[in-house]
Amino acid sequence: MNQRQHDMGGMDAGPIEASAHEAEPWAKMITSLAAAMRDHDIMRIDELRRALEDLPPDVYEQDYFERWSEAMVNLLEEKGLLSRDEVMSRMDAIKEKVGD
Amino acid sequence: MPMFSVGDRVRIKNSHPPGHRRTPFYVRGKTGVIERYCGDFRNPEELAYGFDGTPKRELYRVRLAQTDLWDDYEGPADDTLDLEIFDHWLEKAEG
Repeated sequence: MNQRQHDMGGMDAGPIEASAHEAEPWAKMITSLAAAMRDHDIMRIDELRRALEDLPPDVYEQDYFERWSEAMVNLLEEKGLLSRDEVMSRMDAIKEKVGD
Repeated sequence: MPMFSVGDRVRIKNSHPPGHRRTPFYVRGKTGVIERYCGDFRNPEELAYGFDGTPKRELYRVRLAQTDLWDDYEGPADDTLDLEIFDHWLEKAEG
């Protein structure tokens, strides 16, 4: 038995939150970044899925798009294109410029 | 020439290899019927790790009885579930 964290078919889902909500701007940005990475042959959809499935459980439990951003950073790092440190320091620089 | 034909009974392998796999846990080891051949595609289980996904794999739509999947299924006895499974997950079933 090796049922992995993403493979939830048939499991008790609990109550379902059905209310509609607006996507946060940063979540739209993550979606655009994923599309750009795919367009530039940096990431395939299958690689993104694999990277999502491989996230540690505490990260996997996070918000859907936080999960995506974590998986994408892991893939960039795996491919030697950007390190997590580079991404974090760029985020810090942006935060400094625009404020929290 | 596809390796399975419409109507063939097939068993989905009860296998649990590590890594990115495209066959859901709950259908592994279950038996169904080929509903259609969907074509051949690069193998996503290889593409997921940066390989080129060749040789291409045949994809089949497999029809399973809901009552075979869930012990406590309460819907009509003839309800079915169709899902698409790559050939390397399938083997011919008796009957």
